[in-house]
Amino acid sequence: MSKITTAAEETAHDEIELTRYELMVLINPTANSVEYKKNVEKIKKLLTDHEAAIWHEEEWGKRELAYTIKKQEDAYYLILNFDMDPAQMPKVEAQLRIMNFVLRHLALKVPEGYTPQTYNLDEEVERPKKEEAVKATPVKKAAPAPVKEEKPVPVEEVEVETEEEEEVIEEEEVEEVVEEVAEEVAPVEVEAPKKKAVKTVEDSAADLSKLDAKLEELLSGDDDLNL
Amino acid sequence: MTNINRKKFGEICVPGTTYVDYKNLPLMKKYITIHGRIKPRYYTKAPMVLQKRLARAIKNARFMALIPFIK
Repeated sequence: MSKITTAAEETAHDEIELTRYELMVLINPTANSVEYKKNVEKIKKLLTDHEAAIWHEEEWGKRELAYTIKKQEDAYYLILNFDMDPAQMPKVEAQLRIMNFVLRHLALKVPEGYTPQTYNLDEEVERPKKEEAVKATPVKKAAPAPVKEEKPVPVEEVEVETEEEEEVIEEEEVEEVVEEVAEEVAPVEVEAPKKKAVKTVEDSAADLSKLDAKLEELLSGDDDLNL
Repeated sequence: MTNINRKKFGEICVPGTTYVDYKNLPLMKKYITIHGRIKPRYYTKAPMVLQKRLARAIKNARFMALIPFIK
């Protein structure tokens, strides 16, 4: 009986289910390139000593860290994929913690179908939603703008043609003109977005012609007063 | 119901697996805000399974200093 049990134990010992691991290690950047290679070999040797079969390795080289780790702003990134007995993992991690040149390490179990892939690490991700919002806002403001820009022109003409002697009277008149303009402009702006573009243009043209006529009357009146 | 293999979320997992790789930085940056926080599920619209895997991957990437905790 004892022989059978030992045989069963041996067969069980041989058929250890290996698990797939992925280990990422941050290595101290202050080391030379020669020392760095030695450090990489030390880590590989540590794994092979614990009966790990390395099937993929990847080196990202020196890379900037997102935050400082042990007063270092850069680090060498090393990635190793290997199969190993899960019972050995705590020993490996304990050794990695002791190593001085290892800033940080992360060992993960990886599913069986996993194949290591390369990514564009420093590619910047576009954020389209905000750009669209920025573009949309000025378009809304631009639509009513041309109607407003045309109005202040006659007011300027009045100010240019006024004479120095009767400034007080003319200022009052100018204010009245401005109020009239504001009253006439307000309904046009409200109705403009609802109607078609052609109608708005016609309305604005009609308003402008009316304003010009009033201004001519006022100016002619001024001339009479001056005389 | 939510389907993980929908076109919108088909690229999250490594092909052939249900594993979200924390080294896929373009993907990780897509699911964090400009301040480095994980985008909530009502914003990403991701299925619950994928949202949890994404969160795990983002936390691993933060630990390895690939992504900042806070910007």
